[in-house]
Amino acid sequence: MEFDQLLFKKVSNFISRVKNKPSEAEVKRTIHLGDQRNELTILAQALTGKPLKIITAEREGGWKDDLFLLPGKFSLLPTKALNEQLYWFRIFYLSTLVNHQDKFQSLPVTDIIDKNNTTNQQILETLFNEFPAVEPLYHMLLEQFKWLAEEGKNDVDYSWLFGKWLRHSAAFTHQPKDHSALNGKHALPKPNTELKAKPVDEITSIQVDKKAQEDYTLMHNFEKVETAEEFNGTWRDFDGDDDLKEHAEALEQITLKNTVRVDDETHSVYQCEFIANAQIPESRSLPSKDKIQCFTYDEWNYKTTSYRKDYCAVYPEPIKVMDHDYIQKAIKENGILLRALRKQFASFFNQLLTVKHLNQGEELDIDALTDLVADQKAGNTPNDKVYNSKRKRKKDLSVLFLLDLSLSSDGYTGGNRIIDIEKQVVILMGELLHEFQIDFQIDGFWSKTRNHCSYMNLKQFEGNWHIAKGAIGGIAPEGYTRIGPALRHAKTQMEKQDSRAKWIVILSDGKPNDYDKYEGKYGIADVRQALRELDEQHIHVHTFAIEEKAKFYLPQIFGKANYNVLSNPKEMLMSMSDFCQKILVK
Amino acid sequence: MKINEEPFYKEIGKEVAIFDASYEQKLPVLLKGPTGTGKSRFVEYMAWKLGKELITVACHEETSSTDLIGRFILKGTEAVWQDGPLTQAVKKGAIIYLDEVAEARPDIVVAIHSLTDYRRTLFLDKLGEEIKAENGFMLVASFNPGYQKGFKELKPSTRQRFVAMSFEYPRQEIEIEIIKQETGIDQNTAKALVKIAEKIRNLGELGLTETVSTRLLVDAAKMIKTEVGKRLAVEVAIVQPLTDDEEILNTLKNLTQLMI
Repeated sequence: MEFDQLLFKKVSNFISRVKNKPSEAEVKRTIHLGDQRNELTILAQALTGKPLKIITAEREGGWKDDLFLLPGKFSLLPTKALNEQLYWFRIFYLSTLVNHQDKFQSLPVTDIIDKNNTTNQQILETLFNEFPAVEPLYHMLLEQFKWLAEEGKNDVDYSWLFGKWLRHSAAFTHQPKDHSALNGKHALPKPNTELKAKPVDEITSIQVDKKAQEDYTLMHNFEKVETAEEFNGTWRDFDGDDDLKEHAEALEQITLKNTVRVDDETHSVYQCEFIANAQIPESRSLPSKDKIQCFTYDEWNYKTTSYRKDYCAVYPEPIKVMDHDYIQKAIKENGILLRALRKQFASFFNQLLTVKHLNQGEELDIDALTDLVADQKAGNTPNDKVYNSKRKRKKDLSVLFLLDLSLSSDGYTGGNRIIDIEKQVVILMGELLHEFQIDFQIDGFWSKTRNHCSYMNLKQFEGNWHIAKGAIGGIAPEGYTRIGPALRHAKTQMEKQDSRAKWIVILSDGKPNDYDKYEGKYGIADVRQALRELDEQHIHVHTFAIEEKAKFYLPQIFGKANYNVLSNPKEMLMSMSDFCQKILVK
Repeated sequence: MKINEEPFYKEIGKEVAIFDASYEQKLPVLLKGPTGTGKSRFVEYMAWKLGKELITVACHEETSSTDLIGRFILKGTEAVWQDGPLTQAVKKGAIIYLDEVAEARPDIVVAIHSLTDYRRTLFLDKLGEEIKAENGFMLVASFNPGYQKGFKELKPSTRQRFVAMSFEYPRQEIEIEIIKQETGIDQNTAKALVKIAEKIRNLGELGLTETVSTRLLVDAAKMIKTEVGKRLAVEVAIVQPLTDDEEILNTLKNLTQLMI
């Protein structure tokens, strides 16, 4: 950069910094959406009964699909309290729109809502009718906007108060409102053409380069027949035409290597079976794996309320890396905590070991003794089992820890990396359970579409804990979170156990998500169905989530009392230790 | 306990007819449903309606079959047999109501089995006697299916012995009526309370172990009738008992204040 350019840049930056720097008063009265988001989300969900999310809008925002868009920060009104109340009013206003969408959708609207707009008047009427106490709040805010106009600070821009009309996505507008009315006819538009492609070993998902796509200039090659060429880095526009049939022959000649993910409607399906994981040398070198072992599981489709038969393929993954140093470090770092828990477990087991109604023992059972004397006096044959003893109680329990190893566990919460929290917690729990001889297994899962759900067995029920520890140390985040098939596979593992009580403990952010549209309602419905299947087999599930936001969606999946949300290893370990004691008492 | 005065109970479905029919057919009844939906009140009402004595046992994790059947106790130098509530009910032909039966120890389930089928007998192991239930004896049990899932549940084999009814929170207009009848509060306040409940029940799946029950609303209405003030009454009677999570607490406080 030349000197004059550099100088210009510096000066320009300085001016814009000074110009845009908010005054102290403005900073004081500014309210940030980030600080309010959780409370506003609870409010929106309470008012609408829908799992709405709140995200930051470009400017004033509005309602789109399952989202409420609100300004990232707001400071127009003179006090912080007023600015906060604006957010509250916005939620009430948008919730009224959601609750009465059928009524308002047909009304004429302008992009920006004016306060005198008839539609707006009707919305407000409905709102005040339902929540009379919001009316004074509205008038107070309106007065403030008018005052701002008089002060000449701003044109009265009511869009801040009401937001603007946003267009819902096609999927949202088509989505049926009543589940009972769901059937095949109402499902999303069906693709017209479906063709089978030849299988490939591996596919790579690549990001669409929109710039390159726009810049592409059509060049005509004079070919006599239809041809297709493999992707070589040149991006072309997606025309959305359904001419797969015409190109079928040409496509036969090439190998499918790359896929992209786009939001366009599906017109045709080019279905390709790919043998996942075949590229991993370890799996080939294992003697027992002449053929790649694969388990198929059904998946629940809530739209048709039926199973998709053998829809997901679960591949047992071999352990790739062993890291014993990690274990040493984790145990060393958490030594104090581990000792405390060990003490707690020991005292717990001692407390529990009292066995009543014995012929001999260290203590007399006062109730049984009273019964004995009473029976004697009454002329009955007394029961002489009047002793209590401290004996080892049989721990008839199997616990399977299921770790979510998807890429979301690579994130951080409260300064801790999620995968590290998971690893440390299972290591320490493993130490305790091993010491106290409770049957446990540790597995992990991740997925890359339904065709490739991976399931890694880190420690089997009968496996050696000291060897397994190294495997836990070596795990790393990968892929997505398809919980359904993982739970179903865990179920088959648990079915082999004879224990009276069987528990699967999931460590995850709990959000079903995979890039072949395993998300939102579909994902949640599948996980719930998998949980129902487990319940039928009397296998209980408890989830420990490591994300603060999980409390907003976990209950929808796992029910009210079957999860804990925690943010650091210590908290989670304490909570899990309590949980284990609770299930042992049962 | 004989119930002399008619307890207030608002019928929601056909529960009264079902109970009557079960009584006539000598079948035990199981009431399922979340807390505060009127299960206990319903049993009281039915006992009054049928003119029967009602014996209620609030089961907890230490409740054993001895507690239900009876035991010998020492009185001076003598051992005296004392009937437990279940034995009393069987002998008197009363209605026995085992509240939260899933909480009790598993041995009570064994004790009641022979009472729940055609035999209608109770075996008193300590006395070595088997007694036949008097005409008019009825076994009623209740449990909350959502509570402590996985920890305390009724075995399917036990559930199958009962005629089962589900209790849910009533429809808005019925709930308003219940609150008015129970507390004598005005229509508008009752309506506002029910609306608050509706909104909070939307959050039923948001980490609240229990949601707003009709009982909570009745309590809130009772508090409103005192000098406490509407908003504070709603806060202490509805919001505070529900959660300790600060964010949810704040939101519910603000929400209820904008609604009443």
